[in-house]
Amino acid sequence: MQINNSANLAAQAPIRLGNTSAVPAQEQRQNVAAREKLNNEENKAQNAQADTNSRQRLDFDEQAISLIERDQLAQFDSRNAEQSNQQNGQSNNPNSGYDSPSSQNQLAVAAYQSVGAIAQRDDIQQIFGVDLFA
Amino acid sequence: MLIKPKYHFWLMFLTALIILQLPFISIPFKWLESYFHEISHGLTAILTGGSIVKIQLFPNGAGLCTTRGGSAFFISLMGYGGAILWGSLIFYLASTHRKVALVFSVLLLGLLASSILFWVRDLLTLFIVLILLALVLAKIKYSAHNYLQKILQVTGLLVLINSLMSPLYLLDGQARGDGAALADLTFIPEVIWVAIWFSVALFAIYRLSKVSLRAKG
Repeated sequence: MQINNSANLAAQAPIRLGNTSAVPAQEQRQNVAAREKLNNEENKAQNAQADTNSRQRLDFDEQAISLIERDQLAQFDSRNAEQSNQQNGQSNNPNSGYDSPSSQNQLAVAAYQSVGAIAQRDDIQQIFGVDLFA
Repeated sequence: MLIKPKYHFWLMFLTALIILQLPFISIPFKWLESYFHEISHGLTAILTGGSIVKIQLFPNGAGLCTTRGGSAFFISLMGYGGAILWGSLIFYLASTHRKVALVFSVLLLGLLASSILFWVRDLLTLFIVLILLALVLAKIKYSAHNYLQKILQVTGLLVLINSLMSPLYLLDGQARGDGAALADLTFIPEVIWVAIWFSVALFAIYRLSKVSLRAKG
């Protein structure tokens, strides 16, 4: 882990300064202050970069979680659909059979609609308009 | 051994019960009850402004009356109700006088004959109604008039006992038949209608036992 602080820089500074002994003391102090300032800015930049990295990682995690959740939901839905298809027979949509008329009614309506003439319709009504008592 | 008159009714009732338990002999009497049941549906349809399309009878004692128009409530009600009325009427008229019994038998013949002419549309029903016709004809032709009365009384009781027991078959949990039709029309449960028919038949048997005593007296 890379930790930069002013104490380390201060400790390294005399060594470097020691190598350039010809430089005057005031100039050395100015150089040290400038380096500290630069290091502080670098530190700030690094910290900011770390923050954005961690935030990006968190964002990425949320997206992953939402993706996983979506996948799981899709799998759950498809399993449910398969089960209801098995229960309801051939129908693809499990709700499609609830409001459809019975085949007998469809046949009766088709027979009724197939006859155009009013007289023939009356005949059919008379034929079917009987009551059965057991 | 001489049986007291007050026990005559119950002796006939017992005879009718025994006949209904006999394997083959009971069958025509079940058909008779079924015929009275279906003809009651039909006659009620006519009385309430409708008409009879056809009447079907089946060997197992079941029947079907196809009507058009009329009051569905009264037509449904009078199936079992009508059979009770017919049974009571046969017994009552047979108890009054020999001539009345004879006239009633002839009327019954006329009803059976007109049923064949107007409302029977299949061979099986024709066969069953012809047997009933032959039964009534045999009663008139081969019985001395005294016995005709007794035979008609037993016939009336046979129809009545069948009418007493038949509604109980409706309690099969299948919601079919006249009880279910009345339940649909009135929102009164089927079991209540069955109880009404059963009670009316019991009451009719009780009243006829009193009528029989009075006739003897």
